[in-house]
Amino acid sequence: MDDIISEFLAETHEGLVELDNALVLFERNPGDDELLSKIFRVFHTIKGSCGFIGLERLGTLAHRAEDILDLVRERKLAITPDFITALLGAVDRIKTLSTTLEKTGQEPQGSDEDILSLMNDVAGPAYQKETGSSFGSGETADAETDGTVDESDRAWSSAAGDFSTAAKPEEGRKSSTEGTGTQQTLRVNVDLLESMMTVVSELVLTRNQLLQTARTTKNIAFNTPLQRLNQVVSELQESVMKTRMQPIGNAWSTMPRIVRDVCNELGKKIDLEMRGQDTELDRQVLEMIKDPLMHMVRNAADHGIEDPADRRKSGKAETGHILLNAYHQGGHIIIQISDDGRGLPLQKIKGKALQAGLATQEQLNKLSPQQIQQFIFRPGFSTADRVTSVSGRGVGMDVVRTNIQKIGGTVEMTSTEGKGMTFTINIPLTLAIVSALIIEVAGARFAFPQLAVSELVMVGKGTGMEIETVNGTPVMRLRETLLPLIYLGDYLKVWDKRKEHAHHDGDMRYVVVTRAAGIPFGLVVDHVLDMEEIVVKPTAQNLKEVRIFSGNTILGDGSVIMILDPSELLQAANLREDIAHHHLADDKHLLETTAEENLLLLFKAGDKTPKAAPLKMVSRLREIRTMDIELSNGRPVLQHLGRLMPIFSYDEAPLRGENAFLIIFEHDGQHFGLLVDQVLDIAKYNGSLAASSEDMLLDTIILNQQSTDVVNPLWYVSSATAAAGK
Amino acid sequence: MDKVATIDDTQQVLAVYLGAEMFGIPITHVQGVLETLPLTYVPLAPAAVRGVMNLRGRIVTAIDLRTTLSGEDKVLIGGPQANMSIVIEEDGELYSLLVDTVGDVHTLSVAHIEEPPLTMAESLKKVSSGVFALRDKIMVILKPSALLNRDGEE
Repeated sequence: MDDIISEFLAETHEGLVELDNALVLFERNPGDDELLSKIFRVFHTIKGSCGFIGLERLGTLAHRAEDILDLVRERKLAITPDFITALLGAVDRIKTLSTTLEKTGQEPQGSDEDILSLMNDVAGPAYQKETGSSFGSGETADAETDGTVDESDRAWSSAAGDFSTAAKPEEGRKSSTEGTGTQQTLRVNVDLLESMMTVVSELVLTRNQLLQTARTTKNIAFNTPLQRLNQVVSELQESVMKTRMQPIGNAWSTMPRIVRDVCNELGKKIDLEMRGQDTELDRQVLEMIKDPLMHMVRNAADHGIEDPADRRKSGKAETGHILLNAYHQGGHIIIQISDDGRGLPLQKIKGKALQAGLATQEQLNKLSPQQIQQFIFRPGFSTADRVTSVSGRGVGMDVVRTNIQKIGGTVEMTSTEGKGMTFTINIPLTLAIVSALIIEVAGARFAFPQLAVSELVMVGKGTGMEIETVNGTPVMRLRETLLPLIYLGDYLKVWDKRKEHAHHDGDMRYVVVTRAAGIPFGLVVDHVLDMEEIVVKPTAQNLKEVRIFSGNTILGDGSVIMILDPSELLQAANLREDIAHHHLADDKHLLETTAEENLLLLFKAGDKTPKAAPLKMVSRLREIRTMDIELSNGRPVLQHLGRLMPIFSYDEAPLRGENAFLIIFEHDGQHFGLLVDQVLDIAKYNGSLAASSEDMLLDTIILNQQSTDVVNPLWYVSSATAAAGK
Repeated sequence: MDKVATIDDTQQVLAVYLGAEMFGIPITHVQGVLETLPLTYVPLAPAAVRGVMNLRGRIVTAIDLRTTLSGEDKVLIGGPQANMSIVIEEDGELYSLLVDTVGDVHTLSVAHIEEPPLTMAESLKKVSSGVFALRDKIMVILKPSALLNRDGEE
């Protein structure tokens, strides 16, 4: 029995999805007989199955709907909005009932008299007169349904038979079933499809692995079958992918209903046009974009399209127009949602942005209209004056964008105030297999989704591009903008052990320019190795907390690699939008002002904490031979400019090698040296430093997100003088 | 999950070693024993996660049993490199417990499995289902699910 019910639910669910859509279409084209028989068929099937299983409430609803639809078929009843509303009401009730049925396995107790009488009312006297008697027998049939299945089945069929004598719908029914033809389809469990996908993915990986081996070996006998295998696997992969594909129309089926509800509630006139319903995309992707799409269409109908009166005033047709369009483009799916409504009200957005403290008036004045429009993607941002039952709760575009970004998609918009606006969503065809850029940092490899990469830039010596810092944030001048950078190695804490902080040496490296949450940024990596098709697998449960990895995969060479998530990286790196959105013109003064700030020489000595010294006190840097260090009065000294210069060090480490680095400080004409392990960089620090101190440490500051000890060279001077005094 | 199929009230456990310490892993949880494969290091991962590896097309998360069992108490230190992998499955995911060496399979009489001693380190107690006195050694029987859950919480 359970199997029968779940089969019934699956069927009913599919039917209901069709119904919503078909009813709204039917309202617009009342003469469409094909549509009518489709609607009729769905109710009929539901009624039939209910009779068979013994679901009383569902059966009665479907039966009554079928009855009044039959009147329409006989041209005894005209289609009115009320008629459609009544039927939609029945559809909604059937949905609610079947949801409960799915949960509990039983029809809930209760009465559907409200819906039934609504249907009676719209059918009017025609219904009472024509089918009064046959419906009566339907009621008897309902009463009998607590009998055996056979009995109730017979009861239903007798009711249907009764009905057919009155209305003769059988012929129509026959022709409509013939119309659909015998399509060779099979219901397959989604889990089975998923596991097929996994297995095929493994096969693809194994094939890649074999191909890679084949490239390096010259075994002819082995090459030919491998080529064939290669081809077969590709074909197999393609067909398995196809089994997961569904037309986007499935996600759109609820849209006409939504638009209709908005129209009814707000007294608007909207025409919804859908193009490219047949465009296919992965099931999983479809599920993910369903809600965002619904939200956007609702927004367009509620906020975008004006009232008929307003539209007349601005010289537009009374009926607004919303267009949903989907098509393939280069391995992606483009979905456009456009309306000819009022567009985004710039002044209002500015006002809200000010009110919410997202920007100051000064900042707003500098922003371009496009940048101001971007505010609608901020969390909690809503320009709706009032909260309607359909939208305007401020849970909006940010959620939409986040959801779309989760599947590696992007949302863009264009809006002309008064003319309307268009959202363009770009999403990958499938989530299962993606192209990824394999990047390397400090010997470790990571995959980066190729869809997120906008360009690759080489930086460092001899490339004409270099990495600079603004307020301690590394940036790069890319054309006319400053691109904030993230050192991947720093962030992941995977520096090369041999050359720690190697990124300060100006060596050639790569910047992967990407964009997340609308913010462009660059990822500094050591190498860009390859582009590979990868099968994304979720990370294990206890790696889930490392959120910057969206998954992992096995590469062609058999090694496991982690996949980076650009938006999580951005969040983790805590790039602020104000920095990210600066244009070069705004930043010039930043670069200039920092020049006046403290310049620090960074070095490594003693413990792990990075050390720094004020650059103005450093006279020069020297690499010395450790054997040149002499002792004077038991203290180490070095000959420098014909004089003996005292030397200090944190520990013995620098003396172990043959050569050592020496920072030479100068104060009041006196020189002294500090032995260090390594000189790293010169950095700008624009916080204030303690001017002087009696201690060895001048201050401890945060530089490049690390606490850094600033040494006090004067302390060494005084200690040197004290030592000399002895 | 931790209930182990018993035949005549016995439980079979695989003996594994970390240094000289012996631990038992219920055999029903063990999918395989192999030499540790090349690992891919996962930056920012919990300390006990040594990396991920490819086991015949499936990604296996390698858990350093020494780190997991030591906890903050550092009850187990030193010893040779963990070079054997005990593969276990939990919630459809494969994990590999890295140990130093693998011993025999022991059939233990359930009646003689005792509660962990009160004085046992807290980090160990949390992940063990009992102890068993073999003729020459005491074996701490581990609960694989607890080993993994603990990582998730930290």
